[in-house]
Amino acid sequence: MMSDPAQLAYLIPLLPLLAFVFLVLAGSVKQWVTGDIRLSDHLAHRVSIGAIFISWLLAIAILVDIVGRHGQTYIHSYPWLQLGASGALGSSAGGLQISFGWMVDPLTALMLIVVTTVTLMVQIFSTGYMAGDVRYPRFFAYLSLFGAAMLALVLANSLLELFIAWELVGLTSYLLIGFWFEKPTAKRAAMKAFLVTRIGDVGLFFGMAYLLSLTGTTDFVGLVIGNPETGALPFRSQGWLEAGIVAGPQIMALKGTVGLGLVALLIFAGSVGKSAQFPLHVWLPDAMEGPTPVSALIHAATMVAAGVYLVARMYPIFDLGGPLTALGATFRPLGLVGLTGAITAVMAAYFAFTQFDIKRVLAYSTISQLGYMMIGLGCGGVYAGVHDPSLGFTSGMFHLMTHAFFKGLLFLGSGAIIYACHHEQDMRRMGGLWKLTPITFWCYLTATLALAGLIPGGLFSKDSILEAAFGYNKLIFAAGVLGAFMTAGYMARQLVMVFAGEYSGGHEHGEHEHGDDGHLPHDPPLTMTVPLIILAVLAVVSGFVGIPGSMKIAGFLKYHALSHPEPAEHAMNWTVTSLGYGAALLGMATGLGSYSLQTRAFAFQTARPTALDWFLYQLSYQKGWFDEIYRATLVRGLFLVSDAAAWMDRWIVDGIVNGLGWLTRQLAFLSALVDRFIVDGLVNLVAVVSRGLGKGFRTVQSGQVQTYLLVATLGAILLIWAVAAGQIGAPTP
Amino acid sequence: MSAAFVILLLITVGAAVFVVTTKNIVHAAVFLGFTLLGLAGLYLLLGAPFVAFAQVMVYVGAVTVLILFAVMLTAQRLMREPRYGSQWRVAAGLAAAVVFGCMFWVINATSWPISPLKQDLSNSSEYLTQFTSGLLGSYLLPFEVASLLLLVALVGAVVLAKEERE
Amino acid sequence: MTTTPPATLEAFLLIGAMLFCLGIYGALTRRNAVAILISIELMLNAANLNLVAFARFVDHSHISGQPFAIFVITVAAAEAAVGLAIVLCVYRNIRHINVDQINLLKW
Repeated sequence: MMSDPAQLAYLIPLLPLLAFVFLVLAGSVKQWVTGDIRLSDHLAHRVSIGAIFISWLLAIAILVDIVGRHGQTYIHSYPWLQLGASGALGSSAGGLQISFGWMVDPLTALMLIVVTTVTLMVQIFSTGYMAGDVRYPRFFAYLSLFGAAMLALVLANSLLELFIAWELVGLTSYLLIGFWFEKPTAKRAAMKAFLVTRIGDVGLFFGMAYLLSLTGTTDFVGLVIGNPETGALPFRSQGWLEAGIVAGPQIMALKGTVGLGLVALLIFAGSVGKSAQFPLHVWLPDAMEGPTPVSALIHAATMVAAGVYLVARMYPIFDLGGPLTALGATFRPLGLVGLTGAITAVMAAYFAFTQFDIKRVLAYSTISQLGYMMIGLGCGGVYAGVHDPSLGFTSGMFHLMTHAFFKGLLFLGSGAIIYACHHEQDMRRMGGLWKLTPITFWCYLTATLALAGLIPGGLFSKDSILEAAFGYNKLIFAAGVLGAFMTAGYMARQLVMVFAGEYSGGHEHGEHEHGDDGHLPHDPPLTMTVPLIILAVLAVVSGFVGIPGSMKIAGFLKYHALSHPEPAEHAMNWTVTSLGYGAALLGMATGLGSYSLQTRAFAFQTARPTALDWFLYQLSYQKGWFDEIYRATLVRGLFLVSDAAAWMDRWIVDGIVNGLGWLTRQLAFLSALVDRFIVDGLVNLVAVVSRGLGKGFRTVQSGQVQTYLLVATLGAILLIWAVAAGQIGAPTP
Repeated sequence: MSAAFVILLLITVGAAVFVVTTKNIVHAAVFLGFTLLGLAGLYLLLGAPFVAFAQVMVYVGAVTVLILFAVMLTAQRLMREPRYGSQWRVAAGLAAAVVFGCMFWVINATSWPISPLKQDLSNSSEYLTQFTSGLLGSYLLPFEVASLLLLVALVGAVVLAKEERE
Repeated sequence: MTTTPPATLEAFLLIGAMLFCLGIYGALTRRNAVAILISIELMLNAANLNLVAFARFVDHSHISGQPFAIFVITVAAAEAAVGLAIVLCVYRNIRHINVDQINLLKW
């Protein structure tokens, strides 16, 4: 078994799914057996953590195994629907081929490690954070379901399968954001998340459908997985293949076409929604209504990374898709990806500067970092005119991994802080925690430095992105550098506001349910601090796979660009590195210097702000007024359409139906008239006539004998006449 | 047209007119008797003495008396009966007149095949022989049936007219 | 040699016709049930006269009509007896015998 753990890869999503089913159904079974429907909290988290732990071990086994195989891909698929031309994989347009199964390649293995590790840490953390919650077992059930869905997404071997898991991930996100559904803000946030990502999902669906119509299949093998040298179909169709991420024959055939570019664009719409890129980023800050472990898992490390994963998985399509023209500008799909990422990175960082909620800052930071990943991915590909087409691909995914660790750590750390400060989330009421919660402080500091790009965790991944951008487009590079400066800046601000100075919170909270040593915060229990420490270690260590100059990860996660000369050995670009590092240092210094370490207040507060100051501040604080604009335009427009449709339904459709009903009633009335007067009339007429005739004729029966006699006499007269008239004149015999 | 015929004619028809026109029922019964007597006389003229005797004995003697009995047993307070309206009587009279008219026409229009009587036997004993040979010869069956009929009528009349017992 | 009849056949027949029609008139016109029976007797006698007249004038044997007349008389007598018995019954029930008021068979 250990020789080929990829064969067991299906267990990785299956175990958490079974945990979910168990947790959902066990309550009913328990009720049937003991009469009490409540599951014990211990049972819930043990089942859930047990499942994800085993999945984690399997993921490690798969990673170790696949590193040793040097770029092979494992495929296990069952053909499900095959119409049209011969059954060869991905053959001829006009046919249709859909299969189900799983696929393990280096990209998948990386994602498996990331998802299982962070999920495991989050679940362990949740046992402390969510302790005592009324719906504790349900929380773990949802976490398990999410884990199952996300792992299935990563293991999918076709775009269709991925889409199914994608939708399920969106569903669990909705369930978890709205977990505390007693809060109306939570309900609204969950709905907003679902609907906004839905907009993107529609694009993804149409992209998938269009791809299916162009190529007849959505299976990865043959489209985006193939022989690394030639791009041809692998010799075998099952098991370990000599295959990597490369453009397959059908994609090569569609190279440069507008159709393929449109497919890429539509698929990217899904990524824009799921990964909260501009302009569909508005749901992520509101998603902070959910419990903090949820924010850590879904909205920092995994679900939002699914969009990045999708672009990476479909990279050949993005790379070879033809340029599209809109509004006078022509752009390649990857170029659009990079541009979107750049805009998002800078914009979100700008908004992060003025937020007071600890989680909101992190939320905008996540949006910004996701933008960085898109920058990375976008600055690659055959047609980017870069030296190494695979660098962008590698750097984006590298940053995804390190980001998952340090952003997950940051969120869990914020969860620990919130827990310690008795569920206080406003940073203005924190402070002094560097000595009150030391473990949390050091982990948080580590993560912050990694995020800023100052220590090896995030340093190398961010550096590789900047390098890719530098080689492609100087403007995007400049945006990246600016973003690095801003990232360090707002994180410094957060550090000061949360940890420096003296603790300023807890005054208005009287007695507390924690009931321990007064109101001062302290480090949370081990169940919460141990995951922090583990993640901190991982955040740093994971960076070392990509030390510039000998990027091992570049050999592992590789996009094979056909018809491009093999790039030369990768050497470190000191210009880029120094500019990036310098910007980060500068940002950190500026941030630390702008806030007094004693009072935690802004050091340069002007007495009389100018109109420009006020506008710039409001632009950040009001988050660019995106929500307001969307509400005024799209939401109102949607409600107008909905009202119009309702009007049409009530007056026209119902009118027609009611009209038909009314018409039928009138016809029935007429029919009743006909029946009553004509049909019944005829029948009654017969009766009336009979009665009349009877009435008339019965008068003959007068009962008067002499009348009868008179009539008889008259009859006799007639008889005489009749008989005699013939006889008179006849000769007598 | 002998004188006897004319007298008998007047008696018969005149009495008959009285029978049907008088309001008094007793008078009607009595005049019926006269009519029947007149008819007996006519029978004699026609050479049927037996029939005449039977007529007098049965009709005048028994039937008339029977009728008078019935009249008295069904006596009303008023022996005179109120008449019908004139409309009815005119209609009835008209009907009767029309019947008479038809008969009149038929009687005169038909040429009756007269077979002349050679010998008037009504005064001799030959008559009775001839009569009874017919009565008990050719008409034996009707004779016997008639006697049965009389018996039945007798019983029936007695039963019908019997007083009801409680 | 032939004997001369007292009158023509037509005369006798006319008398019979007159009696008959008088009988009809009486049957139609009289209110009293007994009076109607009287009129019926009249009609029967008219028929008898016809019979005897035809026996005298038309019949070859000159005798056949007379026994027939005897039977008529017989039957008429019987009928008068039964009819009057019925009238008596009626009288017993309804205390009068005005036929215009006896209309139980009316519709």
